[in-house]
Amino acid sequence: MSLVQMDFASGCLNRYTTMEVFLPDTAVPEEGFRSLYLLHGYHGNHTDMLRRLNLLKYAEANDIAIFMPDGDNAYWADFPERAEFYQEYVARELVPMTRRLFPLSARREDTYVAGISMGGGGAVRLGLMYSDVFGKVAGLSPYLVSYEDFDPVGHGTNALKALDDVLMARQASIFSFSMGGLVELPKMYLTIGTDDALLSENRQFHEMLEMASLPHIYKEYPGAHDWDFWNERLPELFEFLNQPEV
Amino acid sequence: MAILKFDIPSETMGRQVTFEAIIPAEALADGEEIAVLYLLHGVQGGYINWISLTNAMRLLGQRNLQADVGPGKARKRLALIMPSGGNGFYHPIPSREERQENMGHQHDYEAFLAEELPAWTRKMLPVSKEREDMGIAGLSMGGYGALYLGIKYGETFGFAGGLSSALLTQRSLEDNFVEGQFFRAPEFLDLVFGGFDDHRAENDVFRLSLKARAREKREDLPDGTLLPKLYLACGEQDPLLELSKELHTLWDKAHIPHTFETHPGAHEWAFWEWGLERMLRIF
Repeated sequence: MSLVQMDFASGCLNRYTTMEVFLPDTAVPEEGFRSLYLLHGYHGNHTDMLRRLNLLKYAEANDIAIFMPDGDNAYWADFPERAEFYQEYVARELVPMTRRLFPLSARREDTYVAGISMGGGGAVRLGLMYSDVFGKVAGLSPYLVSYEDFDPVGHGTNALKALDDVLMARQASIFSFSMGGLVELPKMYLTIGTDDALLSENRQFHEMLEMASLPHIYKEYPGAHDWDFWNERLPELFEFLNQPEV
Repeated sequence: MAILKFDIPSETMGRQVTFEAIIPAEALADGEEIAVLYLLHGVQGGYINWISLTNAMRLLGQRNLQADVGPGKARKRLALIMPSGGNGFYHPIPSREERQENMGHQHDYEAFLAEELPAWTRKMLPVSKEREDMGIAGLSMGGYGALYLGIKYGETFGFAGGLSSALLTQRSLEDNFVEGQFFRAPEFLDLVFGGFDDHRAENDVFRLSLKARAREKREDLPDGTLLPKLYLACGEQDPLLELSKELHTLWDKAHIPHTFETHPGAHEWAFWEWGLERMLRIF
């Protein structure tokens, strides 16, 4: 397996940032490797996925380059007042930069975003807001809830509240665009444990997608908000990523 | 400018290997190709040396900002790649002949640096396929390694640079001995050169460059068809200076184009940083 730890200057974050990369050892396909941008959760960092998940077992069996950036505790969102734009960073900076540096496919259908918890919520939001970039989106126990309903560690700030309002408004407009046939949404895979405190919000989101007739995969399994649950979901995640485009 | 630490499987080394790179990753244009200079360390060193003991990143940044460098310009932007080479003078260890009897512990640095690593970097990074865009350089043991590999694989490398080069094959095993330095002991050198005297007779930098030059003449090839652009430098207070002067004299006599420079300094990083800046200008 080929792993890369990369430190580089980000224009969107206005700082040097860091990232772990997995590169397949197989021959490069004609179009380039498919790519997965994999986002960590709150309290975590770019090393989580390699250290806490059995990710390399599945990565080696699937010729997908995996990029694991560092997102701080920033919800993979944009914070103009701090000049830190995490979702712009992933979708508009990281994707083009990695395509120029590594032999990656430039096709939307070969470009995926996924994440766990805060990173799952970020992945879903990035998939909806940058549907031109990502062909598939996966959220494992995604943090999708509104600020009003859920503030588990009391870190809520006015900035987060404002952010949440913006997100809900933008999601609503994305849904209406999609229903009007103006935007092609990425394929979506969502999974959540039945003992997870985020369960009810995930069910609401699922129902919202159903009501809007937006195709997606939604799976509940016994389990909590922990690494055991996410490890057990890896086979299904890669199965989803490997499903051919119809 | 990005710093990347790679950890990749190597067939020729029979193990996972690590190396570091400085790449102008953030500034790349769509479809832009870059040039590469491999930098080899000295005895008791590792891939971390060049990046931590010189201003390599700042010097590379200055080089890449020159007016004639970039997409559509005369010279491509450059990346530095710094592998680890153990203490084996970048030879196959054990020698390829002995390998059958010594399975399970083989490090073919020669094949790794001259074939596998260039191929891997061209596969995974936007590195130019042109010979003139691939160079190899080093200090001390790495200076020797860069010159012998650069000349032996002149079809791969368009530039070879040796700083304070440990051109030990210019002396006998006995004359190389230095008390208290394990890498100057006859048994050690005999092992890592795969038979020191055999290597001296056939395969050292002096003979390799004369052979390549003779072939260029014999086949009426333009200068530099087989030999890379050559750079040689040594500190004026370095005990190895004599060896570089002898190679410079030989190259002059054989009309082998090259640059030879000396500069105040001993066998030390201050001199190698000066040498790196010089090579970044010339490459």
